[in-house]
Amino acid sequence: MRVERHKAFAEKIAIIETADASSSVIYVTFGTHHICVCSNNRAMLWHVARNISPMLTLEPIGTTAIGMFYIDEQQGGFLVGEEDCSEQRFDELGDAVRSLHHTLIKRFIDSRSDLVWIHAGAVTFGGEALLLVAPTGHGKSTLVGEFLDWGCSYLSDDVAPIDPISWGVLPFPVSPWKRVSSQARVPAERLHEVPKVPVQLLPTAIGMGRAPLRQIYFLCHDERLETNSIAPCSPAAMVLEMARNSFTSEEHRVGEIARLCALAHRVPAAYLNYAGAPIAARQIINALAASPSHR
Amino acid sequence: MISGDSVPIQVSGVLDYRLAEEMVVYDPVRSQAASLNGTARALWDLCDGSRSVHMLCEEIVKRFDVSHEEASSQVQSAVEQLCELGLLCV
Repeated sequence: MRVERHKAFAEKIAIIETADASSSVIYVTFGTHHICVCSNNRAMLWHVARNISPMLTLEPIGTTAIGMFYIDEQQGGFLVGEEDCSEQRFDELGDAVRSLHHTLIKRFIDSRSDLVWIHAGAVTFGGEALLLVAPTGHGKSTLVGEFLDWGCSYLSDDVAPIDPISWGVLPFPVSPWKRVSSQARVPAERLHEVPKVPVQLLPTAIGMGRAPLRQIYFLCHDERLETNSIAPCSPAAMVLEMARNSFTSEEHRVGEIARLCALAHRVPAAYLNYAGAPIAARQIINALAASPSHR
Repeated sequence: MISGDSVPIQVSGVLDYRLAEEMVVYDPVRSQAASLNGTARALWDLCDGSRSVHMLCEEIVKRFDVSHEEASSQVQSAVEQLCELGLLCV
């Protein structure tokens, strides 16, 4: 087995070639689980790997395999599937990579139904986690990028697993990207048109373990706002907002509502209404630095 | 249409969770949830099928510092919303 490291976005991506060089493999890990992804085209696998590079490992030791997927090039198209299961064909590489990325995340979510999975960015400040909850297009990744500039550690920019026993946020460090616009303000309905660029991430900037949850922010991006505001969110409203942004399947929803109610007793939540991410991040950092943790 | 004589009752199987003064109600069958403030929570507790909307208004006036007119408007609106969500039925 030969191991090669590809430099990409100042990160090192581990792509492993099988002994007969017929395929390449990556191992994606989350906690005690890992997923294997192989491909007959290493360049194609690199596209998958660069979106999850902080979660890759060279050798999955002591973790449980929860899936073996492939993304192959075949007759001008791209096949994505799981060993011994049905496969999907895509005409565009980008669509195939995106589909596989979502499949991998869903597999991790399904394998850990004991956790509360929220559509949120997460960083640590002073060792405690801040959760930035919002649907797609409300600036989670961009705000996470701003917090990293303030020296926060990175946990995730899209998916935040929460342990309902310790109420700690676990790292789920998919590669962070943020939107960079040449315009000062972009209307929400056109935000998806703004290109995303990778956020430079040093390995030391990635949170290694679970971080106790200090504060939850529900993001409301509105480019028309003159000033940002942080408004308290009541515990009952918090439960509903979290449930709206949850990845939990319907079958586990009853248990999740009960867990979220327990969380609402412990962790404060607020609505962050903002136009610009840099100022919002600065305001939050200053507010947190000025007030002692409730723990 | 909810009238003063309507008798709202909590839909069977709906779960409620108390959060200080507030409450979260959740119907696992329809996957519908609502957050209730202090007044709405009191109203929810009163909707046991033994009181009409008129009687609910009188209870709310007794318990909270609101006029009969205000209570009537709030109770009517809350009952309608909770019925729309399938959490109450009449």
